[in-house]
Amino acid sequence: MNTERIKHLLAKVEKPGRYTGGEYGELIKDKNTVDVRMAFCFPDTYEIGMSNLGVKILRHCLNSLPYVWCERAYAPWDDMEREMRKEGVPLYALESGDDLKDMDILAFTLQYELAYTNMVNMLDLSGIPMLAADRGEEYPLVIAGGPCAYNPEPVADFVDVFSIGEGEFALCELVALYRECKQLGKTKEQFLREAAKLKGMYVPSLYTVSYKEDGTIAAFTPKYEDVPAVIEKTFLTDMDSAPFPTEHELSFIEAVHDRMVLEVFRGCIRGCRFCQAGMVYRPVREKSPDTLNAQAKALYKSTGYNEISMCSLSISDYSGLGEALEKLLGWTEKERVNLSLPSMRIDSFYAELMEKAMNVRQSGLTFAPEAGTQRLRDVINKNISEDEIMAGCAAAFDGGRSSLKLYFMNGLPTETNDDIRGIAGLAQRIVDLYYSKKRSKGKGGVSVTISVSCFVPKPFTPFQWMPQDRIDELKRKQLLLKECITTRKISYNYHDSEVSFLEAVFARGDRRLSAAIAEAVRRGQRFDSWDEFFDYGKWMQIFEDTGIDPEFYANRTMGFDEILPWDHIDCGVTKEFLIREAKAAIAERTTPDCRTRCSACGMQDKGCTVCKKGGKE
Amino acid sequence: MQPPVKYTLRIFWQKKGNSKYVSHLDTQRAVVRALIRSGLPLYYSQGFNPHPKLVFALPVSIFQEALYDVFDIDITERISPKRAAEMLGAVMPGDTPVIGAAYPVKKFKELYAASYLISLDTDLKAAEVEKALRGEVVVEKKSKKKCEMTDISPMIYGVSAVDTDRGVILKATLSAAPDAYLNPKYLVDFLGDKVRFSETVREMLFDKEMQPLK
Ligand code: SF4
Ligand code: SF4
Repeated sequence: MNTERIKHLLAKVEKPGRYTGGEYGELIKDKNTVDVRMAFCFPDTYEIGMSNLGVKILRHCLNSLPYVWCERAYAPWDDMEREMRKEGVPLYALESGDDLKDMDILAFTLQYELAYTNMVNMLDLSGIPMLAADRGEEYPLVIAGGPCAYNPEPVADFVDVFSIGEGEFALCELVALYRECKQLGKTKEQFLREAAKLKGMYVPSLYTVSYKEDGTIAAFTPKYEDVPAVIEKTFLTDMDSAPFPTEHELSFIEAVHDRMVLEVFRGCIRGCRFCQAGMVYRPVREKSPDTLNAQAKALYKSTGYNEISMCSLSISDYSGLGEALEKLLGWTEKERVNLSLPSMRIDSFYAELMEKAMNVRQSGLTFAPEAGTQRLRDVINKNISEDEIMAGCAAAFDGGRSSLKLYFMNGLPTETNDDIRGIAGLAQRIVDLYYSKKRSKGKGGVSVTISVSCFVPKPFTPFQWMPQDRIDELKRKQLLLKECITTRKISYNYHDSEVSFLEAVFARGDRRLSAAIAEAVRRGQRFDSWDEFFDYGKWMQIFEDTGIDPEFYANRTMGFDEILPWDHIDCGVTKEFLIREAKAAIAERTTPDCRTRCSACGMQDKGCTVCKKGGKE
Repeated sequence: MQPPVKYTLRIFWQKKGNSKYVSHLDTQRAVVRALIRSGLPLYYSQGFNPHPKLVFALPVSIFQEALYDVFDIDITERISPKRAAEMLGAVMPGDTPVIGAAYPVKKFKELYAASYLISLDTDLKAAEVEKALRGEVVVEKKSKKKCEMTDISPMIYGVSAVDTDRGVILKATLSAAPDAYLNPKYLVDFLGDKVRFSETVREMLFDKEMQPLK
């Protein structure tokens, strides 16, 4: 882009390279030969957004349509925003430098709830009315997708169309429809009616919600007969043929993940009951080792990165892991390319893999038992025993490692003080295990880090009905755990309970929250996931002033028979299954993984191949 | 295993346009990736964390452009510089083109001076700018440890200025010796608040004979 008009601004901000485009691999099209101008908007910093694989995949799909040019935009850091507002420069797309308000379509990806204010602020900074209802024909269409779109309601007032599920093909269909409507001179309203009929597309303005006196939802109804009452997610069935960009822009300034990212599979065979990803991305769909290897080679050629990171939900469940590692290590070592694996499930952390993994750089050894006692692990369906954890740690220590990180959660349903103490006890036994081994008396000794987040009930999980602990209670538990740790070999860090509270409000929120988000943006709230910007007091004031009781969303036990704000979204798993799982949790009963036995989650009729292959109903 | 033989190859390139907003560290990373993409027979450092060798003659500061910039790389085959320039040029980011390659003639420590073109957005006249910079030029100069008032005029080898409709264009030749590098920003600093905005382009790097560094 031509940066002439912003050169005075760039001179005053940190990391100006965030705002100029021009990276290697940047995709420039002739704007006069395309019919649809789009910008993919990432509501967080450039460095985070540039690292997002989902965005790369979707832009690749869109840009492979010859009539579309889909550029990039990110949330400017506050120093740049200040300058832009002062100088009257609206937000622009990085490739062309053209204003976002002149685009046809802005596509936002919603990766986490705390980015909602950023999305709305980006609209405002573009000179575009925040509320969909206030946007006439002259403004771009605003669409959104990503994990948070499974409960789109808190941001329903800002977005014209949500894409539910995996958007590779669905988005292209939507854009094709847009182009057709544009060429036929149809209005936005006409287009939206048509869009609502596409699979996976949710147009919030075409539904009305009424509420009961107690604040719960009385009815959620389509305004017209041809608008579907339930919106089914779209998803890919074959990962080997799935679109995957083997070329993309390379951030000049250091991105958060400055490396090749290989998506190994989607979905997860486990059904941890707090985990939204494990539910909404069902069923498991794997890439073959050959596909992975070919994609890795192509990526290496086009990027020159010296690190490959294999990314998936629970990587050690990948059935082709051994073969894939073998194929990759066959050339990466010679080329001096490092392989890195994300956090592993401790139970499948076999010695054999450990051996291979020695040639594989791991971003530290991390395990996620999530709960400190077997009882609570059964409740959350983390099917892993203490013996397995210990065996995994023993293998790691034998392999010469002396530091590892364990992830836990506070505030899980049914959690007691014993469960909290259990976290410290488990960490202590791991430390003891280290010192019980003769050879592991190296300098420095062992270091076990326990990182504890706060449970946030998420839509489409068996725990979606369960309350989050109140902030005081979470703080008490955090302190209790601190007191239980008696050695400096264990370092302990925990998440801010106030941040998690806000997350819970939005996670289980309904449409009425849009008013609070709009007000928050007007009052300057943004980058809520950043410590330097998060302001609990301000948010509480905003809720009060907009007549919203945040505890209604975060701390309430919702009823199995209640209409939940996201009930009109069909993510594949059925409510019956989630209720079954919720009841099993209370009964401290575990459910086997998909490969061991199919639990008929709802996907069995919708294209799951796992149950047909091995699992038996 | 015998470490392979190595040859040092000098790459001439430019850092212009939007790449001026990229810091040296980030530029270095981008160049390493380009080297890997290029398919050049790179020589890797031996040891635990092997990496290609890359040494810059004199990196420009962020916000400055360079029309004649230089870095050295090590390769394991003595390939033709023209071919090497093509291979690397094909994969460098757009605003950092390769303009040539050669086996080095001079060492980097023989670097002596650099010439700059500095556009000043100012109400000052060219004559005033020249006059100011031809006298004693005392600025607060940062060195490794301290920050002190220094007369930098001995490091200013020549200045000339012309008036334009937007302000003044200043041409300056400044010391660029390894032990006496003068960043052109000090000249702008010295002119003070009267300069509203400036843009700096480094045009050339010179050796002691005032020949382009080869
Ligand atoms: S292993 Fe559990 S927590 Fe991890 S992705 Fe699968 S379901 Fe979620
Ligand atoms: S249908 Fe069965 S095997 Fe498939 S995802 Fe659901 S529970 Fe797992």
